[in-house]
Amino acid sequence: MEWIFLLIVHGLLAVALLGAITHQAVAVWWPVQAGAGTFVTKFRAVPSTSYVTAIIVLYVLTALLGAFIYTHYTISARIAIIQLQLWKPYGLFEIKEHFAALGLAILPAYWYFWRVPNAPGGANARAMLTAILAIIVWWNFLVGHIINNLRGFA
Amino acid sequence: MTATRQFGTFAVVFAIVYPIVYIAATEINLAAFTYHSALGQFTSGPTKPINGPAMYWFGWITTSAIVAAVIAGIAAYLPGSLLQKLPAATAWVVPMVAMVVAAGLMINMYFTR
Repeated sequence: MEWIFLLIVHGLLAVALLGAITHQAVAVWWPVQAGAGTFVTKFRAVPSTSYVTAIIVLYVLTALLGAFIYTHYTISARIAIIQLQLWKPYGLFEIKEHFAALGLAILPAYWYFWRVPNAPGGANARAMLTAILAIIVWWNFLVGHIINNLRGFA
Repeated sequence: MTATRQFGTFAVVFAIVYPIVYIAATEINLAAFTYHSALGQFTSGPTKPINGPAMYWFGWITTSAIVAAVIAGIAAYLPGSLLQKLPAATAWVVPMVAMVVAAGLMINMYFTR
């Protein structure tokens, strides 16, 4: 029962992270040129810098909780996935595991290039680091759902 | 300003070293420790499973973080501005290549069975 609760909290943290990083990535890659009007334009017009600390905190919290749940996954859902020989979903989860770990590598640089906007090469690095984090968060969110749909809350 | 520049050097070098060490750690199993999830026990270094699965992932992350932090820490205190010599793009190119390599290895391992 406690694992189900933790998995739901993990999912809620992931939703918050997904929203924040998507907002920021869209604002960086598709900035608003004129005044905000429609919903989409307002979505693109968020002050991106204000999201940085929240995204780092949410990423670390989500990863830590996911890592804790992972210890239970290896002795529950993972065994069933192996027995059923569901190798593609298994492989998707392995990629999620590696992406989550590699995302930790870029957090200091992500913070630095957002907080020091005039750093040499900063604009490009800022946009690319944000895009990489967005790809990691989206991948991990979707794969987490696929694995959960395979085995429910087991 | 110096502290900011030092942190910038640390951050860029960390982003370069960590992914390289992580990929190496996964391929030749350089886990700092192993977690035996069925027993709830830790053993130092990469050890074989004991009565259940052995989890190396935490150990790989720890190895990568320690090695990267030490190298990046040294780089941050080197005289001169290493940050000016290191292109900012290395902070995202190396992690991105590592992601492609990690995904490719997993696809090769699990999608071609």
